[in-house]
Amino acid sequence: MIKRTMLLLCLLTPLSAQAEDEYGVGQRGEVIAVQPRPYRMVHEFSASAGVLPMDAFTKGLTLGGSYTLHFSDLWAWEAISFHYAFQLETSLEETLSDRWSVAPTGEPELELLVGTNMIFTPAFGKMSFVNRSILQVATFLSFGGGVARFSDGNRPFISAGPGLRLFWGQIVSTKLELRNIVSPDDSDSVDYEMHIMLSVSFNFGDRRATEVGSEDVPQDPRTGYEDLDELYPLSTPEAGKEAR
Amino acid sequence: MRFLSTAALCSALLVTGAAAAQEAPPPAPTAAPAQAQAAEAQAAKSGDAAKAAKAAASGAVKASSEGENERARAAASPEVFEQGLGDFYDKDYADAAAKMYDYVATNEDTVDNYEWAEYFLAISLKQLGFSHGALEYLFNVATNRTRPEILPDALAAMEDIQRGPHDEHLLQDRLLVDNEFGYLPPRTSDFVRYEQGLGDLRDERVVWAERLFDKIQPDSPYKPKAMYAMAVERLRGGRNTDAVALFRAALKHPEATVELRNECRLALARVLYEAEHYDAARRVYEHVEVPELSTAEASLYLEKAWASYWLRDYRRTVGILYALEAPSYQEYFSPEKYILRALVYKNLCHYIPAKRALRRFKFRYGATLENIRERIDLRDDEVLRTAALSRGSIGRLAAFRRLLRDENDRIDTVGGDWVEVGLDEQLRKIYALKSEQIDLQLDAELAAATREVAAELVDYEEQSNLLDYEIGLAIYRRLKKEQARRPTEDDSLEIPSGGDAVYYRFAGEFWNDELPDYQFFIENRCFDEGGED
Repeated sequence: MIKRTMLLLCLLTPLSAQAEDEYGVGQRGEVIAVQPRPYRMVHEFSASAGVLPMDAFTKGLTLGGSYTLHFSDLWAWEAISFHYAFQLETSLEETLSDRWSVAPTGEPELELLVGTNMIFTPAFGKMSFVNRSILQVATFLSFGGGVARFSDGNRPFISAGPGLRLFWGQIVSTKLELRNIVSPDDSDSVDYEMHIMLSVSFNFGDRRATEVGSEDVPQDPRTGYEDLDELYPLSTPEAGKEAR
Repeated sequence: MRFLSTAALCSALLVTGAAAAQEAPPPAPTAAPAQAQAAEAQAAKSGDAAKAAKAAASGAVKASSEGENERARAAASPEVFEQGLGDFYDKDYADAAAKMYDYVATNEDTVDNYEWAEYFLAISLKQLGFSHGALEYLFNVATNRTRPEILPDALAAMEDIQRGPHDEHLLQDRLLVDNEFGYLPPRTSDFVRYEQGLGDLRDERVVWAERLFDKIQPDSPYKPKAMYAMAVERLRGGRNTDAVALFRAALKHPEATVELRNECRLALARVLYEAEHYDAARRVYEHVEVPELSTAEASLYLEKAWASYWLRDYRRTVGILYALEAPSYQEYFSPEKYILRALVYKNLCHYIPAKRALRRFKFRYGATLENIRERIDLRDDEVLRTAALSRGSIGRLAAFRRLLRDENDRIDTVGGDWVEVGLDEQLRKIYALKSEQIDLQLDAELAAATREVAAELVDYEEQSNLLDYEIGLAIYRRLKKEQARRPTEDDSLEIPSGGDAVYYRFAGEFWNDELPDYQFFIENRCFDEGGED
């Protein structure tokens, strides 16, 4: 047993030695770039255009908007979102009719989505754009629910999906989102829709709801030049003009 | 370990316009006689730059301004000058240069408009990016002064050229400092007075320098520069209050350039550092802006690292040192970064990593130290050579040598009339001669500069050995429980999941925008061991 332990230790020793990288940092210590978060989301208003691609007979084009309240950099609440769908028929029904003289059963079409979602943004990062500039991006997950109006009536739905936000500045950002929508069918089954959206968001405000009442951390007003006044009281710029 | 002594501080602060005391030999418009070059080479090889300069000067005197071959061609008529003038105002500088050169090269210097032709030739060359060629002809115009009305324009053009790498000996030492120009427009006069004042300061004629600086107009951009120069002089003389007052006045001056403001901030930060006001020094350092990824930035990082070290902000100290490992700073000579890192590890009671940091110093500079001990020609060591060439006057000389090479390479791209009139050949001669002179001067100055760098390196090695010994002792130091300190908020290694800061863990890839923001998260083991804080 002791021999085995010794052997194991011998084998592990070189591994631990290699754990230190070429810059002399390894298991003892970690280098982290700590940078101020470049953008701070608070009140976000979005306008979006999207597509509902799953139905083979009709493709939905959506137009909509939303308001999102950001509680923190991680969590936000999309308080309300609505999307109106325009249905465009594909040529499939006509093809079926012409070639095989069959007609599809009448499937209800999605007309309107009104929902609310929680947004979780666990990842924020940078991308190098053609080695010229840095793009700031965030990836997020949304999950929530709401009411959908189909051509045969209203139904509740739940939705979840990932998204990617590209920041253009403190105010403007672009989002690409995919939402998987599930709603109960009349026949004890569920309808599935995929909603792909591209949005332009406008962010306003700099103080979040969760921060109301909290005190601002006072900025340190010192610049370093005060110490010069203390060390060399006669060294003010006015004195400098007279300095010989 | 790293103390900016006042003398070192002064030398570090010396304005970029300050030329070396021993400079390159002066240029000749055409190739100097062979015997003069040989004498100059001999002198420079023996390490005596002053002799080299003298030899070259005698060569320049003997050299005719234009070659004998040019005289054999028919003299260009005044119409050639007129056509050249037309080309110049049409912004066809290549043709203008060719015609003006034809006029200058094939006529005696007593012919009408000879000086104007030289002037327009110079300006055309300058517009085409041949700044040294331009400077040579402007120098002729400014020294001959047979047409005084051209002088202000010639000096203004030279003022423009001197902002980049240029022949400091030719412009500053031989022309501006050694001449009286009579009446000049206020702006040009300020430039000349400033340069002459700097020359006086270099030669320690402080009163003369003050007198010249006082004559500079208060609203001139040279006024804050003069203030800065005087501030350095005051600092050298130990009159810190006056020095700081002047630095601050220069900083506040409305005509101060961004570069000058940064120089002033850097100087004030160094003064605060010297006074052990490290927090204030670090705050002022934060306001200094230097070109991104430059040697100046690396130097600034190192100074910030030392200020952070004395503030016991080890997280920032090692973070900054880590930034210096970025490929952009690979050529920056900074042996002290290994020592500083070892000091931080030692203070955090991480003794083995501290010893490893010192081993990395030996690994990085071992071959160079071996070369020093074997007494090889230090100029042959790449590390010493690179470090020496990035410093002060020799650094500027190296930059000027690079400029000569670049401009010389571009002569062939013009062709056309230049070949016909022989301007390309003439410029090649000018550049070849100057390059040869600068090479000799670089060689001579490099010997001293590499010796200086080698001495520094040996000193750092001694410090490294001493620190290694101290770390060895610290490992076996007896633990005293009462010395243990409590963890503070600053010791926390906790990383929040959100908040106003984003934490990017280093993954072997240096992002330029992250370099100033690196922090080193490491446990302070002294809590457990009871080591000294």
